[in-house]
Amino acid sequence: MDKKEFDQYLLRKLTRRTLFKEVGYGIGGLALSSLLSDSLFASTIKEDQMAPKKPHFPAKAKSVIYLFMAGAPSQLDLFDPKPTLVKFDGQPCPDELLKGERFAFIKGVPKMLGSPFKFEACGQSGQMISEMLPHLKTVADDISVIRTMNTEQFNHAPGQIFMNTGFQIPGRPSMGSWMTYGLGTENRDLPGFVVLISGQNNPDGGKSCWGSGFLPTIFQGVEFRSKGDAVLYVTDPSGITREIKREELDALGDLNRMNLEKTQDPEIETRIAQYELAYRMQTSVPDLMDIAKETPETHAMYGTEPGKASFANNCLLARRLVERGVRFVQLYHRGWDHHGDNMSNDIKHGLPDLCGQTDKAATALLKDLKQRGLLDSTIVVWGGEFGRTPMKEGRAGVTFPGRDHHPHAYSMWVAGGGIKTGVSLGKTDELGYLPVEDPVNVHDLHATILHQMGLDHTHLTFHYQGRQFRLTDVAGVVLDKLVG
Amino acid sequence: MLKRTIFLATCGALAACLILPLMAGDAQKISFQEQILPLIKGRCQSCHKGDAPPAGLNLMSDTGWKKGSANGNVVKAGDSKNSVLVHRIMGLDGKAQMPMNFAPLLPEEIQRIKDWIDQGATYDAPRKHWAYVVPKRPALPSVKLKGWALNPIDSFVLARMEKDGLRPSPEASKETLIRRVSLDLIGLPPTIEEITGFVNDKSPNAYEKVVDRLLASPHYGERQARPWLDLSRYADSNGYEKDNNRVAWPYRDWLINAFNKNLPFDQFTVQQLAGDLLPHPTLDQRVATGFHRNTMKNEEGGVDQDEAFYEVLNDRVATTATVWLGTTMGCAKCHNHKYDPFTQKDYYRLYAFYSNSNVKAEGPASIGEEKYYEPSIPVPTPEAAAKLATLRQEVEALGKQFDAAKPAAVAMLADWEKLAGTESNWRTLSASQATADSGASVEAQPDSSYRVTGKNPEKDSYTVNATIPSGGLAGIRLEALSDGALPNGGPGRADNGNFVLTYISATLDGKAVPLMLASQDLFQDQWPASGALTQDINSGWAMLPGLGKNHQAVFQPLQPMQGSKLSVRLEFQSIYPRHTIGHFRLSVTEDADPALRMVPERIKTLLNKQRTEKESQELQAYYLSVAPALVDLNAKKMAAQKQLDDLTAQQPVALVMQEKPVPYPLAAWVHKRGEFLTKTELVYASTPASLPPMPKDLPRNRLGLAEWLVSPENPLTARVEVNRIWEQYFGRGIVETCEDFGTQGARPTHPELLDWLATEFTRTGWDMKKMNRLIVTSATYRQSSAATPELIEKDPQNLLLARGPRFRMEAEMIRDNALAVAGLLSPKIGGPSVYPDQPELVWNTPYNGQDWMPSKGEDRFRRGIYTFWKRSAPYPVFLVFDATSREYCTVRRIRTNTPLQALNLMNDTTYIEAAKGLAKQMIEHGLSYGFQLCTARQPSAQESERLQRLFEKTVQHYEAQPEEAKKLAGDATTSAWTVVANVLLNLDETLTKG
Repeated sequence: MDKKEFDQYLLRKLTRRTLFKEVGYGIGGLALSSLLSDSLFASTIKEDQMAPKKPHFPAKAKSVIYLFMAGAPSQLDLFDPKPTLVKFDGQPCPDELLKGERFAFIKGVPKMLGSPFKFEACGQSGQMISEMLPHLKTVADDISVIRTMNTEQFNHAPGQIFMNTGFQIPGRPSMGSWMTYGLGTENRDLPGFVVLISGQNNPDGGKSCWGSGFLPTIFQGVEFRSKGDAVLYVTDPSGITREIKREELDALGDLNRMNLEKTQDPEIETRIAQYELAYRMQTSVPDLMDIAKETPETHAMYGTEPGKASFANNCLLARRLVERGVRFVQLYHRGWDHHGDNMSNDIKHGLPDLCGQTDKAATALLKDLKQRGLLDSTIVVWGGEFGRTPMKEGRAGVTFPGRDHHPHAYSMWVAGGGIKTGVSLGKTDELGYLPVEDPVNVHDLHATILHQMGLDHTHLTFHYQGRQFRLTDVAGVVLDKLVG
Repeated sequence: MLKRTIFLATCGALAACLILPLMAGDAQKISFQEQILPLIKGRCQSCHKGDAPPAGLNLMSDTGWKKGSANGNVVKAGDSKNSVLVHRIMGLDGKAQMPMNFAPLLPEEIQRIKDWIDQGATYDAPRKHWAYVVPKRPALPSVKLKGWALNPIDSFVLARMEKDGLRPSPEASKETLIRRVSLDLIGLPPTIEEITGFVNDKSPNAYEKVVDRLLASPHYGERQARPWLDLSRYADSNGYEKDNNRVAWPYRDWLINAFNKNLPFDQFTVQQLAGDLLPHPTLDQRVATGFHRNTMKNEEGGVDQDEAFYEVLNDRVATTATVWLGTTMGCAKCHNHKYDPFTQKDYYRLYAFYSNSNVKAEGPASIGEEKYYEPSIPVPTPEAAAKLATLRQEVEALGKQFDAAKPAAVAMLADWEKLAGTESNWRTLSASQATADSGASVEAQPDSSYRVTGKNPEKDSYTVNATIPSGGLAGIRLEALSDGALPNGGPGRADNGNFVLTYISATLDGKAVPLMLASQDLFQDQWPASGALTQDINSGWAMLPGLGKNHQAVFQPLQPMQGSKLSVRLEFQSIYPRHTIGHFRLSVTEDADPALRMVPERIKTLLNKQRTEKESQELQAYYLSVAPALVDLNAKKMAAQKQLDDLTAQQPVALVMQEKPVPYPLAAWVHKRGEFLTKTELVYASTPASLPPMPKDLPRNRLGLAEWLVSPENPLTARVEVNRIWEQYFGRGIVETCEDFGTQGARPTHPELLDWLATEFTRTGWDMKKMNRLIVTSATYRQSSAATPELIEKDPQNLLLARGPRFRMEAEMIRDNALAVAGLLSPKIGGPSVYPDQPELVWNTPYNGQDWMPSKGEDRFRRGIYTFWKRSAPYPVFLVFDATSREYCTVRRIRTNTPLQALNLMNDTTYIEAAKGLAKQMIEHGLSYGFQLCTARQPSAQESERLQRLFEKTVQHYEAQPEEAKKLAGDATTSAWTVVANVLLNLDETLTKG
């Protein structure tokens, strides 16, 4: 090592963190610099953490739109056709499937439940899609279906939290938070991670699904509401016009600068900037939410109605958000929990209803992104927190066809952002009970999405409670069959 | 990038201190134990451990390193280039890079290992991490600057400053000081009178007087409780999917009170962790154990209750370790701690202390609706307690009467047995009229039954009017009929076909029919027809196991009655939505004792046969509940019991810890990888082996654990607590990672000071007020927080405390401060949580109709700690300012600075209301008064001028547009002042404790 190399080595070595670790308690003569906290420890976040950051390696995609189908859609009736299951419809479930298994609601020996719906090989790829999703069938070649998703959780709240944070208990950062933590966001007049909700009610996992966990709260998902203020408090109070607000902010800025002069606290500069950003958001958010300006063709394609709270409106908003450079957009639509505990919540009535609420708009979103050239840089993900059993649930003797929660094998689809198209990844057994080829767990999916965004999931870490945490915990393999 | 630049600049400026010695021959010798082993352990322990590691190489201790692999040495001392270990972690020689299938070590980590090898690969003896060594009271350091230090804290801080050539800042102005210390000690700003009083008080102990006044204020407890609410993960709801509300506030009030009466920290600890195990615990000491009852509760359908409760206990273990030991014990749930000296067995030994919680699972497991319950106790007001005692005596007396009357009743059992199970002659009500309160359609059918269709509201009540034949009324029968049009075949209209008849009442010719007896052929567990005899909506007749079939219940008055115009009312007021009946028929009988004749199917099987002892008891118990001789007494007993229950139910309850009686010692299974289902080995309750052992005389239960935590041998507890107290004042702990004192946590900036404070804390009997007083009366605390460019460059984060603390206030304090300044804040302390204004639709949880019912009156403006804390939808304004959802213990809130905060403070109606309150005072007392309310000081001429300019511009605007003024605050002047006030409330200085 020559002199220059040695200097560089030292420089590398002397990241503050290394210093921190290597200078022990009780070693005399600590220099001040050795105590400079790493941002990992810092109690106050001073720098602009939302500024765009470079990925670990060149990224294929810039944004993610995650259509979270809360409640868990039935893969066996939508994406994973099982003729054998249809054949054994009504037969008692084989013992070996029940042994050692825990179900949410199934008790005793249930009967098998074949899908009442027809499947068709669609497009060039021959992707199998159910008649329940007539719109999606038209874009079969633009999506790839993962048929062997599996998770560790079989109840909604932990399942959704696991799907979003890689851990079943609330308190870890969600994927969107990790993404904005790693990459920042391109539009500083809007939050980097936006959540839109439609359907029966909020997802079971609550705000933990888009929480920032131990990451600074600046990275948590911001819920854009469909009623009232889209972003809380984005509207000026009654009697305060834009003009007056500008006067207020000018005065506030001047006074804060006087104080900055006196105290020299850089935090004041940040605060001034944040107030200005808030002012700009008061224009950019209503502008974003105003979908009335979209063409009639667009409204017809999505099935949107301005002013109405719907999944369709949220899909259109998702496109508008991504168009404006928002990093991570997540839609929740709850209602897929088709246990068959009553008629409106069974496979024959409830499932078609939910498909009707979502199929057209989700398809329109793909088409729209594609025609605007945004699909290449936007990953679209569709799926729930787990799948549904090949057995009929029959809770308390009910007779409606319904399925219980099934964590071992379920289907999701992904599209855009450089992900291969037309792929059907993985195979499940004849009854759709277990994966038999290419099982994909939640961490693998996370690793793959991060990978397309230019992030190495093993290096996107945060130091907390004495160790480096990551979205994929200690697992996760990038799915080569999807990213090529 | 900004940070890096600052860092490099600093590095440059201080190069002489650190970098030079390193360059001069790399004097820094790398320690195997502290720098190499932890690194490798963290990365390689999933494979290279145990008796049969891959390639025979165990890397978990120096022995394994020295021994090498099956192929020989892996480390060649002094020659990293030819050490196999280095080759493998770099992925050389065409072999897979280690750690296999995991991210490779970072370049600097590899370099460190190379350096250690090149330095000779020596193995130093393991040294205990500083935090695990009991603190010794250090001597005060000598300092150059004489006369500055006011107490020992200052000597340590000054000595450290002087080492880096820094000097303390001057004392802050009196205005700044009283604001700072008021916010710190009671969480509220000083009033104008308090400021003026202090400024004019020229006595030498003027400041100490202020401090003592604040320490004695009842608001002190409110302020001090706030961080403990985060630590104890206090919330008003259960969390998880259903997130039902809970009553938890008695624990919150206990906290406030404990701080106010200055409960020493050791007792504070023992009472919270084990108050129930103290000899003859008081109610107060039991309420304290609510600390660990703040854990979440998973009530989602289909959840495995044992597993759900396992997670609760895990949380108790992790939280105890975090709060008292500053230790990340949770890591050891699944495997030995990778960095700190705690094994997985240590973890489950701690777990064992909690394993004996008195918990029981209840509810129908058959339909996945089983839930676990832990105990709660009523915490009545003194008046209610007296009334409850009287009622209890009454119930007891009636119980004695019942016992006395029992033998006579039992003697009649044989006669009854002849009657029981025989049919009564029923006549269906025909030519009657029926209506539903909701307007749902109730249609008479040819078989005299009624079908209810159309509207299906959450609750409903039906009225049926009919003329009955002469002969008298001895009973009413309600048939609940199955119906293919109803969910699951009915008879109910609920989504699952069930119903709950919560109350049945009747009148005959306008006179009430006193229905006293009820019986039925089938009922759902805990939902018998007798529950419909009272108006209590939490009891009634339901029939989940009997869906799709016909069933009946019979209701009987005490005596047969005469009359012709019968009116029957059926109420379905259950909390379960739409649990109304969809198809039913009513009949009457004149035959005596129909309710005695009608018996449940189960009882029918016991009649007239040879019975076992148990069956006889069952039959007798049933008979005694319906025996006519006991009817009156039963009714009285029921009424008294109900009065007692109702009053008890109105009393707040406290969630408390309680042990099951078990033979000692307490034990727990080690769960492999922390998985609930995989149990491997039984371990017994004990404290971690690497910390000083539990004294022999301590019981091996929670009480012993708590006392061990505050025993003089414990190296962590006092340090961890004084560090947290310190953080409240300076915005950063002496150990910045307050939650982690382990090897991966931050190093203390002032180690000797930390040890001195810890020993002082124990020396003074863990006196918390004394500790707070010591800190706020130090010269260090009293410094001005204004920085100079030089200080910013040398010490941007103020680690060395050469200036006073300056940082943004926490979420609750920002709101409390604004309300106080506006004159709106309610001074009321304690009580149930309140629902201040929040935007609509923040609450929207599944399966839970609970709504945010905005509080009225002063409850709109209570302090933030009283705001209802819903875990799945916390008060949004607090979240924006970095509060958490309180699902888990939070030690530090990381402060952020975001646009959402600005939107909230500028536009939220609460802050507009506060601005109006402030405006009102400025109209009366002038601009400076308002400015001083917000900042405690007078505005400078420049500041006044700028605000004046704002006022003039806005007043012109509002004069020109009176309708705008009307919308904001009325007239133009008031509106313009409101705008000025809005700006004042948003000043950085107003939001900052400086």
